[in-house]
Order: sequence, then structure tokens, then C-alpha cells
Amino acid sequence: MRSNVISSLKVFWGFKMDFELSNEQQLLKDSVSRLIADNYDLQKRGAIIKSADGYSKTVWKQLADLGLLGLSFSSNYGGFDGGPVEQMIILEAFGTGLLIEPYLATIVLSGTAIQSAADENKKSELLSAISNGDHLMAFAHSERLSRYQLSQVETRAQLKNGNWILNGEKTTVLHGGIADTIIVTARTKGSDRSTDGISLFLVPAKTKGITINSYPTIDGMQAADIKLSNVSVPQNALLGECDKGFLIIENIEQHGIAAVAAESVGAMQCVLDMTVDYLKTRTQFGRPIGDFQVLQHRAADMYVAVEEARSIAIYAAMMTTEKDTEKRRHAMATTKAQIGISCREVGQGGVQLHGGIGITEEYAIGHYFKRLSMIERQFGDVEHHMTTLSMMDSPD
Amino acid sequence: MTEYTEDYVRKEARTWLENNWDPNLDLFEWRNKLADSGWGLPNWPSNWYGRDLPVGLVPIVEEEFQRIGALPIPKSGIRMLAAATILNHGTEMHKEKFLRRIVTGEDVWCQLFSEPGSGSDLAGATTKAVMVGNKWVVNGQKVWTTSAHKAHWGLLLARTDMDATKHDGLSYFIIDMKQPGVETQPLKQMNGYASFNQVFLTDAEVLPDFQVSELGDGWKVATTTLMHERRAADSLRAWGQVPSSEGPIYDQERAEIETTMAPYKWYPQRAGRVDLIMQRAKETGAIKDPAVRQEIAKLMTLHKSAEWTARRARSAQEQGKPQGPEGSLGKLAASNVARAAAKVHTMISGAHSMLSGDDSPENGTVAEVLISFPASSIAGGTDEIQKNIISERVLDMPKETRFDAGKPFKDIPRNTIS
Repeated sequence: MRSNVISSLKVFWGFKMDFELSNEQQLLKDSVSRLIADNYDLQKRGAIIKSADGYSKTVWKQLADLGLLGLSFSSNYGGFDGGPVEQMIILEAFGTGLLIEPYLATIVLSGTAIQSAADENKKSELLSAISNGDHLMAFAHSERLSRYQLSQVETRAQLKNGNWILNGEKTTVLHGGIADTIIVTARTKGSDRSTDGISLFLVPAKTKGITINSYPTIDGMQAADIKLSNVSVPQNALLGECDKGFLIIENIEQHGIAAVAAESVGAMQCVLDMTVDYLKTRTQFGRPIGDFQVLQHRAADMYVAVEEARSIAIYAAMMTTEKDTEKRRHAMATTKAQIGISCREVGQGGVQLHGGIGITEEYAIGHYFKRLSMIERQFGDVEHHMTTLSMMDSPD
Repeated sequence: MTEYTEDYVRKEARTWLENNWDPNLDLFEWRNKLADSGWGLPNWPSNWYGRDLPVGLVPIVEEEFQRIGALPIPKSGIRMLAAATILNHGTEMHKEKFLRRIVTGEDVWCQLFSEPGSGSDLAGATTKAVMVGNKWVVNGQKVWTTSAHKAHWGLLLARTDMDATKHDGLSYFIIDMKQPGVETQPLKQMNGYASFNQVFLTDAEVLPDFQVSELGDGWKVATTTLMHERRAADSLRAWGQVPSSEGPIYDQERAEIETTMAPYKWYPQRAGRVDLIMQRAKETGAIKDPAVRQEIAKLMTLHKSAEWTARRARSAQEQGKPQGPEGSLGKLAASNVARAAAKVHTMISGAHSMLSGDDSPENGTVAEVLISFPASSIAGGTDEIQKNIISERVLDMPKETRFDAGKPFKDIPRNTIS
């Protein structure tokens, strides 16, 4: 099974981007979907949420065995050179199953950090470790005062006697409680909001001086507040160039945006399908409620929102590799703004059209609503990105 | 299908254009060259004035036309819908007789679908075609007919069977517009143009050969025409913009645009003129207003999503998928963009947006956007009809309760006109 999937994956990763899936891409989609269908019904997912670690070691291992964790990494480091389409396929499927595995934290955010900033040794060591599923990582960046401002970093790092000493506090670090290695951003120079003077550090989670307080997020994921008190790491823990971390952080977030965009499309399509099914089967006034035009039109609006999200998610996937920083920045803000608008329309519409049952815990729609509400805010909400866009000149 | 690469197509197109484009040619001589070579409509079949090129590669050819300054085949107008319908459903005789003069632009076409009593309920048409002797004789009234007063040919939806159900009693014809039984009257719009007409058909005649597809297939064929119309709305281009180059062929095209293309001159304004937004915001200084900037950001986000949705539609088309009800998605997206753009344009221009005609900014363009955009969510099927199509045909929701289903047309309640 494993070798089959992997060898066929290798065949198609050279293909150019297209909007329709090739047979091989369809195969990838089917295998991820099957894995999720087998492991992620609402009940099994609920059990995973309640478990001590908040993710499933079994599923994580399966993802690793199928080659999905290392899919987008370079084959020089044990990956499969996957392109943006393949990444989209996986994340869309994750969205369908409301996966709560540490994929975004470990693979997308931390993986991007390592790929874009680590030296060769660390790349081979860490990328293969996270691809194998043996090693979990988290990206600790946001702070109490940062809201969505990427340059707001108060956590400090100072070089003393050949070691970096880190002090500060990070909040809502996705899967921070289960990570083996945490990427911590800290100020090495400049004032609290300056883009210049931020650096990234690889910090083993067990390092002395780290206090981690884990808690569940509304959508069943895990996040943590992380306190660093005189945490000491060696000089080579520095990831990338000193003081020049801002562009890396931005790049990490942009990959995060493209990832949740794809994920949200999967979740939104599910909400639309469930809602349309419900409209066809629920009867009131002696007929299916989908008979009523006012509900049909709301469903049509949801369809438009899903398709616009899908279009913009494809755009985002293509733009992650754009070289021009301004163009990429503009594209990702546009993407996240549209995704936020669509998440709202579809998440809220889905619950509304289900009526009373839509707000119950036992029914699936509410769980999708929670994830979509989370994605709407993750990496910046609509208003944040609209403001960002309004302050930029359109590069087109 | 032959494998085409971008580079290959670009090179081929460039070579052909370099050897054939000549701004001193007569406009129709040039278009005939395009028809013979297939470069004018390269995605058309190679036996009918095209080159069988995948739609996705057409932009490459268009780029080469622009690079050398060659005039392309104008792709807007009902003639292109007629072409799509004829290519899909027409007989060899239809293709032989009509397609070439569509490509060269010598014939003007119009679409005789809507009636005073059948707008959104298009299948409720009551214009009748009756076989008298060896000819169809048509009586009734049509409305919203773009270019009817200039048209040589009309795409006609008419009832041929009152005992059949509403949809099954319709047939599709090509009617000669230059005959005594056809009378047209212009309809003036609130934006000052008179692009549409009412058409009165009084014992107008159609030869039996000019029926498209089988008797009773009218609705099916009309659906093809309409889906292409929606797709066209989705990628509205700035047709009617006059080329600025000097030379006799350009003069000829300018003259043509002034006359034949006149009904379409406001279409770019109807679509919202997103292309002018940034320029206007900068020259007025409105760019400094954070509220305006926010609205521009919203518009551009909407515009980008619509653009990529259109790209996906083109890509699906390129892969040979027939135009489906998803075209409604693009049309809805285009309406949203037009609405938002009109709002932003007027925010930018402030009180000046209330001035009419040439007093309004950009020689009247802003005023024209403001009073033209409402048509984008009505023409070619209202936004509400598009949502019906999406819910019934894409999402497969229950069909609305209908009082006319299964009954002979003569027995169902008619739409009255007050």
C-alpha cells in the first residue's frame, strides 16, 4: 500500500499546475479521504479530542507511512517534492474530516521555517524527523499584545557567554503542549513593533525555564501559553540570520494562510453538502424545506461562497512561491480576506439552515462551524486583511 | 487531439501574423484571411474557420495579436452566441450559410427570446409559428432584442405546439429580419442608450430549412444559447473601446464600432470599470481616505476571486467539459463585482458622480457606471434566476412547486401583462 501510493506520487509531482486533478492526484485524494473516513467520524474524533495528547498517534503514524507528512519537502531531505496542488489536496481532505492532528503546527508552519531558514544539517535532521512522524514541532510567535501584528515581539533573546538567553511569554501556540521542539521568535534588537531585529530560535521543549500551559481551542485543537524564564540555548539554536527573522515569519504565516485556505474549502464543501442534504430531507408544512425559494437562494449563496473560496485557495497555492514580496503579501491578504468572508457565509449559513439541530453538540454541522469560525480568525480576520490591503498599492 | 504547447502556438501565431498582418488591408479582406487561416477564432473547429486549439491557449494567440497590433475578430455580440448555437445544433447548411459571415462581421444577429409576458419565465413564450403551406408563419411580440434594428438574422424561440407542455412545445428557428413581417421599435434605457428593441412579428416567414434541431427541441437549443450568454457575461471585456492606432483599417473598425457595436458601448460601464478605480482614486486624492481604501480593498478581493473563478471555468472548458449550469456562478460573481465597483466609483467621485453626461468625471464614464450597473444583475437572467439554476441544477434541490408541469400549454395559467 505504502510503496504503491508513494511511487505513483513521484510520477505526478513533475506535472504543472492544473485546475482539474490528474488520475494520480485523484489517487492521492482517494487515499487521504479513505484514511480520514476510517479514522475520523464524529465519535472517533471526539475520543481523540478527549485524549491526553489531543491528537491521534495512530493517525499521525499512518499519515507518515503514506508519505503525506513529507509530501511537500524536498527529496534531498527525504521528502517527495510535492507541489501546491498536492498540498491542497491533502489539506482539503483534512478539512473534510476536521482533522485535529498537529499537521499545521509541525509540517506547515515549522516545516516552512526549517525549509526556508535552517542550515543543511538541521534541514536533514529535522525535516526527516518530522516527516517520519517521530518528532513534533510548534511555532511560538504570537504574544498577548500582538493581535495579528506580525512584528509585535516583546520576548527577548540576548547572547551571553556563547548562549542565547530567552525571556518572555507566547500565547495560543498551536499544539505547543505536545511539541518536541518549539520555534520561538524573539527580539534581538529594536523596539517592540519594529520589523527589524526579530530572530528565530529552535528550542527543545524540555529546556529548563520553559513553562507550558496547554488548553483546548473552540474547535477541539490544542494550544498553549508558553513562558520562557532565562531559557538558555546554544548559539547554533539561531534559525536563519540574526535580526532578519521578519521575512521568515511572514513566509511562515503565508504558508499557513494557503494551508488553512485549502483546509477551509474542504470543510465548507462538507457544510454545503450536509446542508443541501438536510434541505432535501427535512419536511415542514408537508414538503421538503428545500422547496422554499428563500432557503434555496441562501444555499445558492453558500455555493457561490464555497466556489469563490476554492478559486482563491488555488490562487494562494500558486502565489506561495511568488518571488516578489509585495505581490505575495498582497495575494495572501486577498486570500485570507476572501476565505474569512466565505467561512462566515458558509459556516453561519449551514447552522442557520439546519435550524435548532444546527446548534447541538451531537450534530456534525456545529463542529464545522467551530472550525470555520477558528479559520476565519487564524492568521488574521477579514477586517485585519482588508486594512492591510487598503494600505498597500495593488501590485497588478 | 494534437498536443499543443504554449511556445509552439506562440511561434506559429507570430509567424503567421508577421507574414499576413497589414494595416493597409481592407477590414473585411483581413477578416477573411483570419477566417481562412483559423487564427481569428483558433478554438473553433478546423473545418469551420478555427484551428481546434484548446481554449486555454487562446490568450497566447491574443497576446500575439496585441504585440503586433493586429485587429482581432470582435468576440462580443449575439453573432457569437448564434455561432455557438449553430456549431452545437445547426445543420451543415446552417454552418455553410452563416458561420463565415459571422466571423467576418458582415451579418448582424439578434436573439428573439424574451417577450412582454415571458421574462424570467422564458419558456412561457407565446409567439406562435404555424406551418402554412411549405413555410412557417410567425406571429407575436418579442422584447429586449439587442440590435434588432440592425440585424440580418434572428435566433427565434416560438411555440409550435399548444397541446404539448410548456417546454416541449417550443421550437428554434433562424429568421430573416429583413422582411416585411418584421417591425422593430427601439426601447430607450435610463442610461440614454437604446440598445434594445421591441420586435413585432406579423405573418413573418421562416423556411423549413431554417429550423434548428428537431421540432419541440426549442428550449434545449435556447439553453445552449443562454449558457453561452452567461459565460460571456462572466468574462466581459472592454469591447467597444476604440483602437487608437492610425491607419485605414483602424478607421474602418472605428466606424464599425460606432454603428454595429453601438449597443454594446456601455457594457464595460455595466461591468463596473474596475480598471479605472485605482487611477481615479489617485487623481482625485480619494486614495488618502481610509474609508475609500477599505472599499477598494473589498472590491479588489471580490474581483480577484471572480477572476480566478473565471479561470477555472475556462480551464474546465479547455478540458472539453460542456458549458454547464455553473456558468451562473460566474454571472453572479460578475454582478457582485459590478455593484461593488459602482459603489466605489461614486465614493471616489463624491458629489460629482451625480453629474450627468459629459459634466461627469471621465467624460461621463462614472455617471454611466452608476446608471448602467443595475443591468448586469438583470440581463441574461436575473441574479435570482441564476440562484434558482444553481439550487435546482447544481445543488439538485427540489424543483419549486409548479402549476404548469405536465399540462398542455393551452391549459396552464398565462402571464398577464398589465
